[in-house]
Amino acid sequence: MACRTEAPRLNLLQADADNGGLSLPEGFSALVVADSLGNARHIEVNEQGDIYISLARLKNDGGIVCLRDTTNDGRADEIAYFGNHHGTGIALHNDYLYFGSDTLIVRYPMIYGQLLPNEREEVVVKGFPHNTQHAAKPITFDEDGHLYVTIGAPSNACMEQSRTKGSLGMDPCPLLERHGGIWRFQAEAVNQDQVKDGERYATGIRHAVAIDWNKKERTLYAVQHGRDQLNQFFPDLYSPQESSELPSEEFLLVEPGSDFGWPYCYYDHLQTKKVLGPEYGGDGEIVGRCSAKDDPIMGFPGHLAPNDVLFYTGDMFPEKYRNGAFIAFHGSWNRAPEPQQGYFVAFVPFEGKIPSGDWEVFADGFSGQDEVKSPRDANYRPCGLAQGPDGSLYVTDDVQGRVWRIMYQ
Amino acid sequence: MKQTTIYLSLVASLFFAACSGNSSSEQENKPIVSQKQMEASEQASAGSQVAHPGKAVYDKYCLVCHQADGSGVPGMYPPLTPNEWIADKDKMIHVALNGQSGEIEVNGETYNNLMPPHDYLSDQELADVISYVRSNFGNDLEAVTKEEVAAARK
Repeated sequence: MACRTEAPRLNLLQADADNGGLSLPEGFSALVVADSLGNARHIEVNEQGDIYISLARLKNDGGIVCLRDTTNDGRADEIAYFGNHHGTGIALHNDYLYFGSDTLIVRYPMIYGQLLPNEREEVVVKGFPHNTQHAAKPITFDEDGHLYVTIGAPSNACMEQSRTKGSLGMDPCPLLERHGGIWRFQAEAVNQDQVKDGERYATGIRHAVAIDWNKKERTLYAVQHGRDQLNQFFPDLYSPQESSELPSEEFLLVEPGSDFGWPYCYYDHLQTKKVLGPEYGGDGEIVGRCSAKDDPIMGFPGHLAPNDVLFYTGDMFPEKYRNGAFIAFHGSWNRAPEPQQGYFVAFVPFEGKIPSGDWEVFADGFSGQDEVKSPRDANYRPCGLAQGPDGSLYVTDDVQGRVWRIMYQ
Repeated sequence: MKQTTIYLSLVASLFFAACSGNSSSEQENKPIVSQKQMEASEQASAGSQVAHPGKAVYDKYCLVCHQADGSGVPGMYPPLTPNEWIADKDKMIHVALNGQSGEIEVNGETYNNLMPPHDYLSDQELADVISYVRSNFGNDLEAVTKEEVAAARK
């Protein structure tokens, strides 16, 4: 160290020999930034390379873990826990660190040069319903002073009797009033209330843990966790194999007033159309009222659990990745008795606002298994994505709390 | 907005087809194949000497959430591997019949999801499936009788 006369160049970081256990396309490599952080969910990296990660559960009395690399080797050597809330949403915006707990959006002022934010917490939005499923509150911002919050539906398909075989769906589904969509708030206002101050920007979205504002296209995108258990609740209509493949995890281009049809409809990527759900009289083919709903821009195989999406704006990665979308698939639990799938980071190339080609697996090997029969088999499950100032891609894992930095050299 | 341009990944379809053993013809003829598969699997378990009578009930009603190996889903559905809930026969019968909601702790992990009631299953089916769980997934516990289920149902 003492002999070094010039600052190390970020793009000459030494990757791990095994890429932290990941398999990557040729030319890419990875290093483990940190390990055993807790249930690491979403991640933000600031201009100085400091890292902020939301935790699903408190660890060391903190719900946010802050990381800094003071030795320029890419590995975090300063790790500090902060904040009283746990959750999924996290974003840096206008010198504040915003945090989305399951029931509250708060923010903390950043202090230039310091890793930890100021502890002076402000409530940005309150009054969210308390859910015990699909409670995560992922957040993103546009350039016009708006904050977007996903509010998941505490339900599978708005069945009259929750997750019960053969139960019909409530019609209209009362949950849509407060859930099952994306709400828009003022980015800079405090003490906003979901009902009084929130605007329902889009509806018919069961639960989208993955949301991102695409700055280049000035458009909101989300990826939905589709409904579960078609075969289990409607065995006469769906085979176990169909139930493991359907419905699609939908990649949504979200415009003001979009309605993607949950709980009445789901997207079938094998038929490339939106069809009526079995709780509402569907048989897997009938379209009915779903012809009036908005289609996704892409349908992924069922149950892969998209937990984050990031539009890549860096210049480190090759041309094909620029302005395309990376999606972290947490991995399925309800493809059983078929093997579980997902547990990878995928890439979708874009041309303007829509995909320009097929999706592909970008980073794999998170599970550490040839085949995942049950989610507990997986060593790691990808959950959050962020882009570093040099164009590196960061990926979090919420099983053990590992963070990878993926580079192209 | 109505966008109809959908890109299906050929690579991905092949990947999943290869992994799941599905052929496209199976997917096209769904009602017939599904019925046949169901009968075939019922016959297989009925014809087998070793299959526990509760396994068919488990596979049909429990497996999707609690998984084939009873390991559950971290953060969502608790495991059925040895824990204090499985050890308590009355508690297990109660949960199977009436469902479960609210925050619980199992083997040191917190769960706060909803399990629907399964009171539509017969006393025999419930006794079978509870006994199956209590003698699998690392458990070696006493079986439950249909009379015990009937008594708890009242």
